[in-house]
Amino acid sequence: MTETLAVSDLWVDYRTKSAWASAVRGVNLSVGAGEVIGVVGESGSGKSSLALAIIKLLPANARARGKVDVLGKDIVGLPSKDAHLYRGAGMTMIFQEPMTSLNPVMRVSDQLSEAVVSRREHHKLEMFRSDSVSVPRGPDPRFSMGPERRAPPSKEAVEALRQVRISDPERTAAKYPHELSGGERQRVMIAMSFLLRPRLLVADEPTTALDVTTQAQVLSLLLKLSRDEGTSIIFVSHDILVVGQVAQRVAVMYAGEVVELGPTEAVLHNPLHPYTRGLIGSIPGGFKGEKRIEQIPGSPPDIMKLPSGCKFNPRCKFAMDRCRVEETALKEMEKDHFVACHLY
Amino acid sequence: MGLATYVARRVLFGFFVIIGELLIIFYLTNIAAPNPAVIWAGPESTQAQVQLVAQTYHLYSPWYVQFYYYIMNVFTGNWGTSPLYQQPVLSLIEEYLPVTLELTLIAFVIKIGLETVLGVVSAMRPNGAADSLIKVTYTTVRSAPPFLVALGLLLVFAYGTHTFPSSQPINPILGATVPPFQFYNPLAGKVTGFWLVDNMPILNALLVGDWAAFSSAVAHAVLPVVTLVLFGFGGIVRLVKVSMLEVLDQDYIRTARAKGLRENAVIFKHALRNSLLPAFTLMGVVFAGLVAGSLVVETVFSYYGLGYYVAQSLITFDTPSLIGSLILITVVIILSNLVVDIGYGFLDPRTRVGY
Amino acid sequence: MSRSESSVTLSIVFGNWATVAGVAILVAFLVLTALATWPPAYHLVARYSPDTLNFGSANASPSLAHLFGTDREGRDIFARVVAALPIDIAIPFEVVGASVGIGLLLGTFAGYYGGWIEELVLRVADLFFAFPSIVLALTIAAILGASAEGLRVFYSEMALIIVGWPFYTRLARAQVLMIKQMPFVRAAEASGLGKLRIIRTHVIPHLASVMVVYATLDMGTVLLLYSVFAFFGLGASPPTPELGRMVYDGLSALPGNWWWSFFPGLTLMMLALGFALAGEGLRDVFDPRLRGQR
Repeated sequence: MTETLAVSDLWVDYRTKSAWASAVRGVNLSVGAGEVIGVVGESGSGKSSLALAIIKLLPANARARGKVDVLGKDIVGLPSKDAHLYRGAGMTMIFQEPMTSLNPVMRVSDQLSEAVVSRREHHKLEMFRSDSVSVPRGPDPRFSMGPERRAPPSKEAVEALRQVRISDPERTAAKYPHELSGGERQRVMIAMSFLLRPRLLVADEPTTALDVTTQAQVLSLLLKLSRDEGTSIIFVSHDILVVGQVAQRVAVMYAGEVVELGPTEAVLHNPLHPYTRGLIGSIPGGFKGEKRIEQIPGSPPDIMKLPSGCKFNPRCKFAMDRCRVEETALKEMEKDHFVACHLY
Repeated sequence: MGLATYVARRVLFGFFVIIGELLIIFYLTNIAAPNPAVIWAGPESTQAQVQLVAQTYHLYSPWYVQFYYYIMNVFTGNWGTSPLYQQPVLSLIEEYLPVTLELTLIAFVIKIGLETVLGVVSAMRPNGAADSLIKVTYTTVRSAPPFLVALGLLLVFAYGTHTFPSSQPINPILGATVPPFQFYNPLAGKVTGFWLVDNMPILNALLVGDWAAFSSAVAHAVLPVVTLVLFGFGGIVRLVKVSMLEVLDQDYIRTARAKGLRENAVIFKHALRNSLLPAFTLMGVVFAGLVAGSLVVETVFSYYGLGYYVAQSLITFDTPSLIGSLILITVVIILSNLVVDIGYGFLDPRTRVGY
Repeated sequence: MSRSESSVTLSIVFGNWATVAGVAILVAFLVLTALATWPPAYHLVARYSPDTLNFGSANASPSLAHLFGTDREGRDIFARVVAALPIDIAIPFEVVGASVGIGLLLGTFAGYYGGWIEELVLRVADLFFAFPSIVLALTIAAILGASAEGLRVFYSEMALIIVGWPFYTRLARAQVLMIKQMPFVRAAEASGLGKLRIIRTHVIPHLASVMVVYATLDMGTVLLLYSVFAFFGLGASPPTPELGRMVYDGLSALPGNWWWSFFPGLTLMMLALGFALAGEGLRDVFDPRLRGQR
């Protein structure tokens, strides 16, 4: 069968005053059905641009080049008016900031019901065939602005809220987002995904804004979605430990490129790229015993002024002459464990 | 805070606004002015009239006595007599206010609708052809003084093509024959008219089913309405555009898109309502602007409403009429602001926490 | 301001044709006004005196002899428009200047000192925002001007200032609250500088740019508002020409003599357009958030 997602040689460029600056530089990545893959990198590594390009939600001043095959169809060249056909039941996204990712003037249940309607509409499309969904049709809330919105929340919406373990789902469904806490809102976002049952979920730092206990709940809910519905998840985070808890494979990004890719175990316990080692070394307390915190010297490069050769060379303590001139490419070092580094 | 408390507080504030206004006016007319009696009687008045006015307004008493009668007169509906019309101010306002109210409300609805649509269109493609055209149009129109727009419309469509009449709210012959709308008033227990409705030329003609009068009233209103719509044109366009662009950048719009909604649903269901919120807070100001604009518009088109009446009072220095109209316009503006604020609570649940 | 910053500023000012047009309009009007008010140069601008009656050429339509035509008394409308310019150009500067001055004073003190001063100033400003300001200003001008024909311009300006200051007071206060939190003000406070000194040396200069932008944008509005005052006879008394009043007088000659109203109105529009375009250009320079958004 085809893979859920196949990204090949993807470039994302942003328009600046004088030229185009590339935030994602020739990324290749594939995600199988039901697979959870982590994408790790510092801010500015291009991981968010990659996420937005996959779901075709790049801002107006950006463009994508290359191929992004979702369920076997390329969406890079797709006109943006047709992109909605692929989103929803095909793929969806959860964002970092739960406080702003829900519409403030719509009730939670109405926003959830939209997901139900969206899924039902996708079912008319050949490519998203699966078991039938029943959607009871209430009065269309779309054009109403007043109290008539207070129709009882739909059964599906309440059920989805229960699935994400929100206490008193009936009352929560009738609330507006500003009446919920950050953790509740993020769970509403996940409930939305439960209703959409997408083939692919892009989660961009979904737990970063949450406190630690809520983080764990949200992570387990995401895994439940993947397990129950066979949803593939791209989990984007700056925190390699969080990614390690959920992902089967990890891709490490630096300056718009994937520098290391492999099974989570292998990458965490046997990091090959000096940057990955730095990432793991800079975890407080040390991941591998009692070593003191190792900082990666320097700061992420400006995408307008990238160094030649390996993009990491100015910060790398192993940098050789070759690293300053010759670009790197991914090489398979162990089974399924790739690295882009001249050390190997 | 309950809705009733909220309304009560706003009404109380409105009361203070009117008192504040009356204080300013009182200071100017009765204390600062060298000869208050002339101000109240009008510059053309005779010696005897001035004497009479001075007596009625207690102008020979100390200022606090004057102030007592001044305030009491306002709140007991004794708003004086217009030196120009030689009629009680209140009865003049009763006749003229509904005409202007009807005109400004029609213009208000059209203006809001049109400017909102243009704002959304501008936001769809910033700096595109449509946006640029809209921007150039409103920058130019905004800079035209209201009487110039009225004049242009008058010259082209009234005197030039004769498409629309040049003056008056209705053909005077039809206006004289159309009966006032009457209905059974359960409070009075009999069939009566209602001044607010009966003096609105379009609404009254519609209610009594006089089609000739109705079409005449509509035709007479077209040019004044267009002028009012163009008065201060573009403010809402700009506001809607800016807030639409801001809203389209929000995370919840990305969520809506991620959900698989069509672009139309994203714009009209998620973005539009949020982006109209800031514009909605300005509705009261827009309406107040239209009422002010009616002074010039009604003067140019001889559209006999409150604006025309105030304008005539300005030109002839008819102080009682001016003050009476000012108080009434203030009341109308306060009420419209109240309606806007309550309506905002329904549009934005975040402000609804209290009630 | 560094060199590259100032070149960016220049490129925004001159890269935008609308701003250039606005400035050009204003400069043209200023030159015209300056020439017209200097007697030796007057005839470079207009051929007739604004007050000469000539019933022989009454109601003459626009021609080379009378660029804007003549009115019912045969006075040259172009000459009268030019003669009216000094008043109409000066008034926005005076009214906006005074409003800004009052607003700056009250707003800065309200924002910087807070407490009951702030409360009082804000409540009074709120009261003024609830007034139908244009109608109130017209009423004030009419009451004051009823028995003082020679002072009507002055009273109209006063009325416009009375309804104009609350906006600038609020603006200044909001800005001051923001500036107060900035590190350099904090540092100045910590180093023991007096409040008045901090306001003068740190707060006011930061306020100035914002105030100038809004003031320029407001100029056109005040110009148009004042023209409405003049339209209703609350401007300079006849025979002194007033653009707004000429439009009103011309209405009585319609539909035959349309130029009597039209050209003074058009002049007002050009002036207002000049202020609006220049003001928006200034805003682009001083408020980068809004750059390219309009």
